[in-house]
Amino acid sequence: MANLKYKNIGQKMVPELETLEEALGHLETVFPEAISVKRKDHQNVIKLKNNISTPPKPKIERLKNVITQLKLQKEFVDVAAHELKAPLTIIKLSLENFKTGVLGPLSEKQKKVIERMEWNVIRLTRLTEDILSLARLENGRAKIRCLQQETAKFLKNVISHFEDWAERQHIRLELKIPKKLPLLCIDVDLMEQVLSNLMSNALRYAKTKIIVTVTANAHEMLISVHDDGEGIQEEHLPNLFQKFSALKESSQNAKHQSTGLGLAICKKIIEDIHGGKIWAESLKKMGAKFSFSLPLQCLCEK
Amino acid sequence: MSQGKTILLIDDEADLREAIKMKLEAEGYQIEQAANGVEALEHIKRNNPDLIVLDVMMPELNGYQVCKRLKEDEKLKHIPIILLTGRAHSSDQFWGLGMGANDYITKPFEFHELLSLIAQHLND
Ligand SMILES: Nc1ncnc2c1ncn2[C@@H]1O[C@H](COP(=O)(O)OP(=O)(O)OP(=O)(O)O)[C@@H](O)[C@H]1O
Ligand SMILES: [Mg+2]
Repeated sequence: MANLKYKNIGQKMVPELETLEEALGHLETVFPEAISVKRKDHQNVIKLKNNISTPPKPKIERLKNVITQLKLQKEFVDVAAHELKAPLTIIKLSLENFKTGVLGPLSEKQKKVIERMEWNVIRLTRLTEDILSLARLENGRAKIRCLQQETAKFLKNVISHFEDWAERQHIRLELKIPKKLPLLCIDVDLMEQVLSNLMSNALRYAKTKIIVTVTANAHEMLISVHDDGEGIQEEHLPNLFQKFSALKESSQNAKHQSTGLGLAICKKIIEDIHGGKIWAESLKKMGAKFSFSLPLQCLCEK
Repeated sequence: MSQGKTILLIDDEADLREAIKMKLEAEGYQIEQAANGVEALEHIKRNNPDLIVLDVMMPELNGYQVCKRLKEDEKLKHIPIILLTGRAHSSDQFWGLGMGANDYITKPFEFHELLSLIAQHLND
């Protein structure tokens, strides 16, 4: 196994190379006439490589090996994604055919069983998606695109997706967002994933309200999601952000089935990709509070 | 109305075609199938379906290529195409819509999503 330094450099290069490769590949399959474009780009890439002061050959070889390994890993994730989603789709749609009577009437008992199967397919689908997005984040496969965002607008938009759910559960959503806030440099899709997980967690535990607070100083933005649910026991706090951390006691009586990957994904996105920090606090009788900070200076790993 | 409208399903997975066919037939559509891009192109030229549901990931001629060829053909380019893609956040959609697909849906989806897209594009 090559050493960490090469692995890090490799990790950084893989997504770039792949974006290029993928785009060229698409161009080639769809416009065979564009192959000449591809050749020219290729030459430019080679030129560029020669212009950078050339490190000794064995090092390049090692870097190449690492990149190949990382590429194999990422291909595995992509193939796995396709291979897993195809059968899931077939099972899901077939169950729906049963449930909606397309295949003939069902007894109440049969309906119950079908519903149970359906629920578990949903679980499996979520688990699959979570594992795959974690794998993509871990092997540098995730496509990261950081853009300047208006903080308040972005937050309000994400949170608005949860309004219906909150209303159904009679939970009040409170937003404490100051009028003047600096811009955020974030990958919108990934940051939406973070907020959505924190919001859906909070909604599953909150009794009457969830408060989302934003503050900023000269260096960073601080965003927190605070619910008034049962909170989290002190001894569990350090493990929450590990994979499959769903806490035994809470998942038994929780009204949901959880996979315990959400917070591990949040941590990757906030800390590894955006250079921020994420943590949890449990305030006695005041529920759980999840906060993350984001540097104002764009540290986004590109 | 769905009465009599013909939909061509193009996917290399027979089981998936079968599951979709059952539902769409129950909804009153007439369903035809093709297992790959080459077969699909021949079929479309002969039978001129009202709408096409097309999988992206197929061996040989993939979904984009089928899409591009159809949209370049004056006689066929009016047929609405709904792409089935595997990934939610990827260039699939970009490339699919760029190639002229009218819409896309990400696997695993639910019937009501597919049905509403079909209805929408048949009414256009
Ligand atoms: N707001 C909260 N209040 C109390 N416990 C919480 C809260 N948020 C998270 N937890 C605990 O932390 C665990 C891990 O959360 P995480 O988001 O990682 O996974 P999950 O929500 O169980 O599943 P998923 O992968 O679907 O997000 C939860 O199972 C729950 O026990
Ligand atoms: Mg969660």
